[in-house]
Amino acid sequence: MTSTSILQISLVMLPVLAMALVLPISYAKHSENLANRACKIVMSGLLLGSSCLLFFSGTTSTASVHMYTLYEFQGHHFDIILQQSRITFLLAFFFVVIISVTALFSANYLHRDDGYWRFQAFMYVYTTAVLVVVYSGNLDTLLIGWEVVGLSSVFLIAYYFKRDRPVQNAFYTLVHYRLGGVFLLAAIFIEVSNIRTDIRENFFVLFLILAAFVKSAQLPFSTWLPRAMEGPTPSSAIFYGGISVHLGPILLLKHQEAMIHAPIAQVILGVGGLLTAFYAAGVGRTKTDIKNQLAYATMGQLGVIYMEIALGFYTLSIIHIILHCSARTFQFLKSPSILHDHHVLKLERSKQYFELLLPKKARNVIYYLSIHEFLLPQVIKILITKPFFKLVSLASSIDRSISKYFKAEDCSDLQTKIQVENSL
Amino acid sequence: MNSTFVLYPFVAAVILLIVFEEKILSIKNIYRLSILGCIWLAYLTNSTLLMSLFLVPIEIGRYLIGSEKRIHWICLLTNMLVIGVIVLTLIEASVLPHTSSRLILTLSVMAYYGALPFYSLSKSAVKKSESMDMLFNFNPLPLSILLLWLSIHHVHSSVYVSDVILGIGALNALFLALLSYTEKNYKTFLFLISASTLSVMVALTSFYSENFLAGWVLYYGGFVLALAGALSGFSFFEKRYGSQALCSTRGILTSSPFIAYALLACFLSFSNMVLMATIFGEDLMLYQLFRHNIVSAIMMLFIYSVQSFSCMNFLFTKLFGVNNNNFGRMPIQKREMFSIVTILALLILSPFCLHNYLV
Repeated sequence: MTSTSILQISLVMLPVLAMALVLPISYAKHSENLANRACKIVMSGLLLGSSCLLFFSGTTSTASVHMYTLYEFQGHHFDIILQQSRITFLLAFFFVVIISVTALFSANYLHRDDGYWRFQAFMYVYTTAVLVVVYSGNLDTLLIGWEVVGLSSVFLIAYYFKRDRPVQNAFYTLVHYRLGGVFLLAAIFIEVSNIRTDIRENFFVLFLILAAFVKSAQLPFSTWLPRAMEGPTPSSAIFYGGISVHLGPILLLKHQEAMIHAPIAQVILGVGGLLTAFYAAGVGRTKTDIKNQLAYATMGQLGVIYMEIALGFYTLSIIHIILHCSARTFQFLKSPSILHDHHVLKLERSKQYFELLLPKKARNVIYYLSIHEFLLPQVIKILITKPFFKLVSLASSIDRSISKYFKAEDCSDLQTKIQVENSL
Repeated sequence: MNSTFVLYPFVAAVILLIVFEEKILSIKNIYRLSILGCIWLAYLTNSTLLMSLFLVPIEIGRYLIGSEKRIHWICLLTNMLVIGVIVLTLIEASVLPHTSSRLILTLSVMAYYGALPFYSLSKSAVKKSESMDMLFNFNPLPLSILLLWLSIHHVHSSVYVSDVILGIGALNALFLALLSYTEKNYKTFLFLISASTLSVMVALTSFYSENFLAGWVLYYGGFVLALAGALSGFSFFEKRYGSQALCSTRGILTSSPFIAYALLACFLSFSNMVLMATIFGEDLMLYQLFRHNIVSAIMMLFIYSVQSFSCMNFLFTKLFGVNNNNFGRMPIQKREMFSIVTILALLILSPFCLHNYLV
């Protein structure tokens, strides 16, 4: 094992160790100072380590380092593999910078908040998961980080769990993340299947694209992103403005060689990105609160990034990711003081709107569709949600009939079932 | 594979529960210990016929201690039928043609742990039984699956039969997963979701009569048992101390509710098949399925998604108190602590535990 690999593993483990060792002590003492100091030390360590990897590792080409085989059976290996390349180290360094800034911001923002330690715990977990995704050298390793990023993000959406709405939205987001996970798993399996090579390449990339689209809230999986804004501002910044939504493009960039051999999938990627950019630009303008506007703006920019990847501008897309991530994190962190800025800075808005070029009738139609999110929630409800709950209801009614026939359940149980079905 | 290792969590759960039982030398406890002995002996003897015969006292015992005699009577008959078929197959009696024999055998084993329409009866029995007895509703599962695997070596059948078995197993799994979506009771939920998963396993084991699949299923059986123990432990504490006691000094002192909740969350998260596949090795099975039959593999992924949605719905309901639940009454600070414990358990403990299963 080389010193570079050891440093990579140390960076991945550092946040989790801090969470396991320092957080319980600071929680027991109820000392935010201790937690803050620990957070600063951890973030400094991460910054130092990731900058060392970036500037002193001497890596010029991409290399995959096999770390550990979790198990091996009949020719299949479940390996933990780390990737070492300049791009990987650059992205890791950049993400650590973003996380550090957000961590410092959250120390004041969540001061004396009930969920202060919970936020810290999930932030550490998230940091580890992001580093796993970025450093991963194969899809098996990436999937671990991918899923943990989703879990920690969902728990932070449900941060204010005393209200029903955040919890419902967290569950809604979680369902989408699971879907993304299934797509990624399907991609892994197709990679090793025995189907014809050309079909396999296209399906493999297609499933990767679907997984990336779910993570980045691209059409038709875009409805979860505005709902995910229920969490505290630092979490919105770090997850939905900064890093999390950009993991989709990074997934595709890691498999750019496979994408070259899948032209059909590339077309789907480009069209998907284009449609999302238009959709987000339209809907975002009808939103009245700043976080929703930013969510749609993020979605639109990601659409453009996907178009760049589809067209083969990989370096440009990396630059775009870094710049967009920085700008959006800043905007999200500034969003609580937007009214103050509006009054103090007296910013004047430009009166030159692109939509004024369109005829009035077309503008009205687009406005109607935008305000109703292009009827996407309704379409999802009709095509997916309702059939699913109908199936659930059907299963319950069959169960009830059998129970009634054998008199296996008492009346109170049946009554509860009926109530549940009615609520659905 | 060290098969006795599968029993470790089961033994630990039984000992833990018996320690907390008021009357250690009660008839139920003696019965429970004798079941444990029977299963262990079955593994040690390594005789398929003996294994199947050991199921007979287990089933009679389940009938005798069951609170719902009528339901248990039906279950007992079903289970005896299963055991009969297994024994007949093992001694290679030419009672049935081989093809029918394999089909009946697989369907019987599915019925054994609560397939259509028997799930309804078993579900009711699980709900009404004591928390500890839940463990024993699960205990013959690994054994029966092992028996199935051993038995199918004696029966060679056509691809058509395998497809039928796979289809029925998948349908049953989907049905149970859908049913678990609305389930609010711990025990019943665990029963439904485990039965759904095991239905897939049995169907696939029968479809691909390969060694590693049965081995994997056996591991999974052990895993289910361990989690049934954890869940049962939680129900036990809840029953004994009351839901309010979760917040009391006594409840906290034992810390068991926290552990039980952490384990529950852990289980539910790993029941999310995607994450579990990464760490637990389910991909071994799906890799094979994708290589042989891509349509079936996609169907299985769909079933896993539904199972996952059910699990996460249940987790959210219990964790965040969308609907009334005990956890919702806990003070905020304790919930904070719980969140940290949960995530720690998720990230640190589970991969190591699961890794031990695999190596």
